[in-house]
Amino acid sequence: MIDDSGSLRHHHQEAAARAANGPTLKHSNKMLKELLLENLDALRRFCFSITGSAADGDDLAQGTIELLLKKGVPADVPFLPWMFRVCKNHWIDSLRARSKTQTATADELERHQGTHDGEADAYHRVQVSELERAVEQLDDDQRLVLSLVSVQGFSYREASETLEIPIGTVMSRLSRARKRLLELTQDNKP
Amino acid sequence: MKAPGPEQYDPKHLVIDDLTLSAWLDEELDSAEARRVQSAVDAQPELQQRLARLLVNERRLREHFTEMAETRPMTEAMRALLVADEAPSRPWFLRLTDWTIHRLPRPALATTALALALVVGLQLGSRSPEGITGPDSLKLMTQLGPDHPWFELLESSITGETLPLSDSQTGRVALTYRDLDGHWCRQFSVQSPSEGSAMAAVACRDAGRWGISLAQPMPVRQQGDGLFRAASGGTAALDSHIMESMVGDVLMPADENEMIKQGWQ
Repeated sequence: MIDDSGSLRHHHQEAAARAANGPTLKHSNKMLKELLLENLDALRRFCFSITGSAADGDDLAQGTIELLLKKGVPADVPFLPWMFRVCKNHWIDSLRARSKTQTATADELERHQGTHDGEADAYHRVQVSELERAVEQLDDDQRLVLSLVSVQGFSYREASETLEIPIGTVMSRLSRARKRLLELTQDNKP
Repeated sequence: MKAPGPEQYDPKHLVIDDLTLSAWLDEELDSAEARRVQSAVDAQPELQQRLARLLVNERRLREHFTEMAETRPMTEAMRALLVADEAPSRPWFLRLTDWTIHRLPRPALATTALALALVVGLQLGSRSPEGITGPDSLKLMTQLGPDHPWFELLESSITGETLPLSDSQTGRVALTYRDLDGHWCRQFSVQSPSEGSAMAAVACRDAGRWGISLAQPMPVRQQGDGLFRAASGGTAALDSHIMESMVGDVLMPADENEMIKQGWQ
């Protein structure tokens, strides 16, 4: 059905070529900021969808921006996949750290503070929270694939290269994520 | 060999698993496989219903997180990282120029202007080679009388016009305004593309002479033609000085022409 060997081989060839050519030229700080501003909506959308929440998503986006500015981005690689890859790695690192400390997330705090916001947007909140809760219950790996393909509109090949996993794995994780979301949102109507 | 069962021919009996349906939704199947799934979807109401629910979730996911990204303001921390050091937006008329002049403390102004005038004076060279080394000539350089090569530029050119000042130098007025003392002031630039030097300055007219009040050498970059051009840079300090000292509006070219005809009276 789908051949995933080509893209991965290409990816490894690129990496090998970069390593052979020595240090790569990086974007200037000014250019990097421009690229980040240009792609900020995409980054935040990705962060919101993998964390399942606004406050945690913004924390993740902030951390990703700091990392990108600190470490730089090679000028010869596509920016968007690179940005998402850094974001994904940062998210996984922060999940590991959080599992050790078990502190309340920014979103949990925000939700707590927002419990007295009134009834005007209650219906919207129910819908939103149902979706966010459903996303939160997905495995981390499933959320990443779902975020790239369903929310960001990436092809399987692009998602595979960004997450550095085979296309077959993208397919299976995505399928399981969608199936799980259907189970968790039983009441949705076409 | 076992003959193919009816389910392989009858779309009503085709079994489409979640993996395949998901890939079909994303248009990631090859055409033969996509046709097979399409025929099954067309023939099986249960599959249509499952697909419809999948699509609802897809749409809700995309819309929800897109709306969140578009409507939730950028955090202050992000703004500080990405846009805090951007120059504040400038009035349209100050965007006419890329030249930078740093405002200096008043006591330092005269000395700096003199020194810079000497630098440029040295580049003028042939104009007054015998007079540029003494203190008197430095003083003369800050007061541009009719005999000075820059006088004509300030006295008679309109904004944006580039004039030759010598064999190797050109000058250009960037904007004209009236200061708090009622004097006409002009921001201008002088550059020597072949020598790789440039400076920007503000001169104000008093008693028939143009006196330089602010000046600064400019960074230059070599261009493809081998000549040097002044590089653009931050203009916040210059903007600040002009905004503080300017009264009224910047003069438009038509008004400049009128003032030139009247001898700036």
